[in-house]
Amino acid sequence: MNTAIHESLAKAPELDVSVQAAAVLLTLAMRDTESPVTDLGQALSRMVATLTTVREHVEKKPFNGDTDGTRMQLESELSICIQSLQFHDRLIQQLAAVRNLLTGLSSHGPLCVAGFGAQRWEELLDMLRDRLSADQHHQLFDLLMRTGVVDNELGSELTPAEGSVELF
Amino acid sequence: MARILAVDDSPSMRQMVSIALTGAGYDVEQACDGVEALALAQENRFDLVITDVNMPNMDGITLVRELRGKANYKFVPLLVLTTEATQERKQQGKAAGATGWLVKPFNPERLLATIAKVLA
Repeated sequence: MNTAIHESLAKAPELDVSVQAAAVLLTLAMRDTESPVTDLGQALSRMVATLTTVREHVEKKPFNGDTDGTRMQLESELSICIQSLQFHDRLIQQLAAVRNLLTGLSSHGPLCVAGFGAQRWEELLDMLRDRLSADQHHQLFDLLMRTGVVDNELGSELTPAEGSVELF
Repeated sequence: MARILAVDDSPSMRQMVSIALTGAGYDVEQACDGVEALALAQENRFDLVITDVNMPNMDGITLVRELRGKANYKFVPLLVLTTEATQERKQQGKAAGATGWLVKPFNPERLLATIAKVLA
C-alpha cells in the first residue's frame, strides 16, 4: 500500500475526532452569540421607541436647532447599528454551513484530493458553490480556486450588490 | 399607518426589520417562514409583505407565488429581502410576482424609501 495512503488511514480516527470537535465548538460559539445579540436588538428597539417619543416632543415645540440636530445624529447612528447588526445573521448562516460541511466530512471519512478522494473534493466544491449567493461571489471563488490568491483591489471590485434595491 | 408583514426565519433579522419599520410608524407583524406568513396573510389584511427567500417549510419565492394567487394580495406590494443577489434568483422572484428585490444587509433609509414608493 502507498505510504501516504497508509499514513492517511492511520490518522483517520484522529482527524474524525478533530473535525467533530471543530463542529461542536462552532455550534457552541454560535449559541454563545445568541443572547448578547438579542439583548443588543432589544436595546436598539427601546432606543428607537425613546427616539420616537423625543421626536413627538420636538414636533410640539418651536424649532430647536440643538435638539433637532441631536435627534438626527441619533437616528443616523441607530441606522448604522441596524445595518451592521445584520452581518451577525450572515455570519451565523455561513458558520452553520461550515459546521454542516465538517459534520459531513466526519461521516464520510478522511478527505483526500487524489484518487477516489477527488470525487469527494468536487462534491465539496459543489457544496461550497451552493453557498454563494451572488454572481460576484462565484467570480471571486473561481478566481481563488484558479490562482489561490485574490488581489485586494480586484476583491473590492467584486463586492456584491449588498444593500441594493431593484423594483420590477 | 400601513400594516406590514415581515417574514424571515432569523429572529435577529425580523427584529432589525421591525425596529426600522416601527420607528417610522408602521404597524409590523412577524412570521418565521412562508407557512406562518401565509396563514397570517389569510387571517389579516396587510398593505405590504416583505420576505426572505431561504426559509424552512416554505421559501420566500413560493410564498410570493402563493400570495399572488389570492385575490386579496393580487395588487399588494410583495418585497423580497435576501442575501441572494444572482440574476437567476431575481428572475425567479420577478416571475413569481415580487414587486422588488432588496439585498441584505438593508440600509434602513433605503428600505423605508422603497416601502414608501411601492405603497404610494
